[in-house]
Amino acid sequence: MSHTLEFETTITNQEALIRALKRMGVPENLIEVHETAACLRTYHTEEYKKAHVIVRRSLENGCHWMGRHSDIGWERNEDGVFVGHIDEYDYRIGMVCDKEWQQKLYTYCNVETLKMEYERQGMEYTESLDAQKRIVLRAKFKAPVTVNRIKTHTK
Amino acid sequence: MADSREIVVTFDWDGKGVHKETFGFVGKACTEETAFVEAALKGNKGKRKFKAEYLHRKQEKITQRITA
Repeated sequence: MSHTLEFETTITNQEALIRALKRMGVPENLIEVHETAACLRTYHTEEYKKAHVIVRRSLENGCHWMGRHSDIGWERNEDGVFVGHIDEYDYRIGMVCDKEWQQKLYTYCNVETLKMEYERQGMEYTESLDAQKRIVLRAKFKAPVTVNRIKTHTK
Repeated sequence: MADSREIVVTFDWDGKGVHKETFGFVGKACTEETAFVEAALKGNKGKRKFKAEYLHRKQEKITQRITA
């Protein structure tokens, strides 16, 4: 082992946020992505905030997705960081958007962000859970291809 | 020879905490070649703990000076 590092993260990767939402079980047809921030609406269709990534409340089959009453969304601020917006009523009654739900979403978001980076670099990785049920990503480094290695293989 | 270098990243369920461990690196390579993990996650520089392998290169230099 060479070193260990502990640090805190912020959500800046839009694609990872979308992948995390899907992993949380949000139906794909409820997720919207906007170049310019669009309005979020409450149960009574009042506009309360704007966001770039939005999960619309669903009225299919006469009920909302996971008991939610309003749209929820994430607005990209000037620093490129996504800030979540949740209607106070949904938050207060402890529906799907409670603190634990958000923490789980952001954890998945971190996992998906790093997976995307590994995929971009062509690194192999595996995902598992440790003894404390935390997500663990193991990635292997590939040795750089040198001239000597190429010569050995072509002999 | 197979490359045994490995990065193991563990994610806390609070949505913020991330723990990174590196295996098989010697010297400064462990921080330099795995810095992309922090960059990808936009991590603030946190608590860093170095293991024996990190100090290996430095110790080699000291030994050379003494014997020269």
